[in-house]
Amino acid sequence: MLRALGVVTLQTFTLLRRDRIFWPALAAAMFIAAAAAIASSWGTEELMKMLYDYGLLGFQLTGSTVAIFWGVKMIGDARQDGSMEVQLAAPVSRGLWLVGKYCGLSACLLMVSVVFVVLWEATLFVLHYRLMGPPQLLVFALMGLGWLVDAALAVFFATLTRPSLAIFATFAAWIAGLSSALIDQAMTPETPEQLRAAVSTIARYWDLQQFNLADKALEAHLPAFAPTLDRGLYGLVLIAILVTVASAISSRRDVLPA
Amino acid sequence: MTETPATLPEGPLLQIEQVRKVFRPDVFKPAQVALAGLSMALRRGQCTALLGPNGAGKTTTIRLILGLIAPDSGRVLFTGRPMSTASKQYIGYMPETAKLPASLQVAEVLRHQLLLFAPPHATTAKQRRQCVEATLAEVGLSQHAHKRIGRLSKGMARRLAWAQATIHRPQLLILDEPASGLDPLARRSMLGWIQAEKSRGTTILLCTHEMLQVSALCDDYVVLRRGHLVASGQVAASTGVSLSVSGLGETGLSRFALTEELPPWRALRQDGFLAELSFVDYDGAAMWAAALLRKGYVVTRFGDDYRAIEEQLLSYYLEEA
Repeated sequence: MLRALGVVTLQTFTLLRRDRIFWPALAAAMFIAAAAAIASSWGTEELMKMLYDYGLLGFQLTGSTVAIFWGVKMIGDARQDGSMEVQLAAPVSRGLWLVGKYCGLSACLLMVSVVFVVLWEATLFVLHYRLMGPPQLLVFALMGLGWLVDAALAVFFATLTRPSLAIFATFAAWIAGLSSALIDQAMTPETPEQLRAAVSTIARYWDLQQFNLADKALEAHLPAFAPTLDRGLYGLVLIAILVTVASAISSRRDVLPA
Repeated sequence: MTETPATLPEGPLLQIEQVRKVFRPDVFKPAQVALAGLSMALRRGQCTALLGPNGAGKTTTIRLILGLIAPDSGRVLFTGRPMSTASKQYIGYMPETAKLPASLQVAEVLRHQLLLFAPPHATTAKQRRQCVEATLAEVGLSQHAHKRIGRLSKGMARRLAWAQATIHRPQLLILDEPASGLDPLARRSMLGWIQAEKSRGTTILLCTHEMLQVSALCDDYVVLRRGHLVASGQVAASTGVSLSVSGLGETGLSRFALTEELPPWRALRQDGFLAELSFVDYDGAAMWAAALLRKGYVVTRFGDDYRAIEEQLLSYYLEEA
């Protein structure tokens, strides 16, 4: 079973690499680093803070977009070109195949996060700022985990429906979490109790921005251990749930021609 | 413990028992019965032709065997046991079109295939490399080992599909229109490879519309129509050998047979001065051909006769049209 998982993962990684998954990420990272450097030099706020605010926002959006688009595309392509049919004719279960696809995408996203970290360090070095320490690296690590959650969400929807709808559904679900957090903050004591509780629950469990710790990037010390660990574990639980459900659904669905 | 092919139990390699499959594409569209209680079996070491017009249920049958779709009722048995993911270890599948990722390289596909199936002849990295090299040489793709699949010609893609289906030496080979779109030379090679695989004892399920392939390669045939099995049998019993001769009428042929003490024909078709005789076996046809040639008649054709199956098939095709 592990051998089959390894082969599907390796093949997916190769396909995504040749599908130029790294190019947009690299181009975006360079653009973001340059834009953040320019913006920070023009800004009136603390330069380092502006650099991190713009840079991390750009990195987060780029990583999430790459995770969502390529997550949906890899499943859609396998259906479209029929390679899914041939791969599943081998001794690989449908559930395992999907997990392998997700692992291949995750490996690519981890590579993308390494590229971002290296480019960011280079930017800091060129601008003569302090290089990243453990708190900043932890921020990047959690951001990478957030991308993996986005990828799991994309794979989940790609299993259920066609690529265009899956992309729409993934972004909709992502924005639903983000907006619920904003609405939660805007609610007043006059808001009905039940509505407040419902919005708060959604914001607490489904706001995928919780993996973005950009506001803590410039702290000298590591963020508090317990809440950070909670976020990390929660991210892993979300991934496990989404991939397991997608895998279970995939196991029961017929593989039909595109 | 995983069974090795050598210890697979006797009996039919594959059995399909009362399988029914209905597709419901949409809640607003009517359900389509793809297979309506299909039962069939593949004899071990034999080649079975899966025939029928488009939409008869051939592809659905293949997908059911491969576990790509699940039956609504009935079951598929491999060596007497329900088909499972592990059973696919012994199956090779060549789809009608090259369903392989366009950006993978030729050698990569084969290497991945060996890693997935882990056949006994390719357990180490060195064995896998040798096996890939040998297979590529066999199908004439050695020069294209590092070419991406998307850049292969159709003929090369078919050869790769064949290599991918057979590199792990399967016990059951499922071929969906293996020679479709190939030029005559490539077609001949493909039929030769199938023949060689058959002589190695591989059980083959051949989905085709070409009667020449059926008569040349297959032992059994199964005809599907609208999800039902409408005919099945042994190819040899339904085909034979025929010869065409010009200048002889039916009366002439009868008199000729008496004087020469020749075996009786199975069927005689006449069109003006042309006569076509078909025989159950090669010997009878050969004796007639020799006798006719001795008397100076012109034998214009001598070859396989699969008209019985073909006419039956054509009638189904016409009804579907």
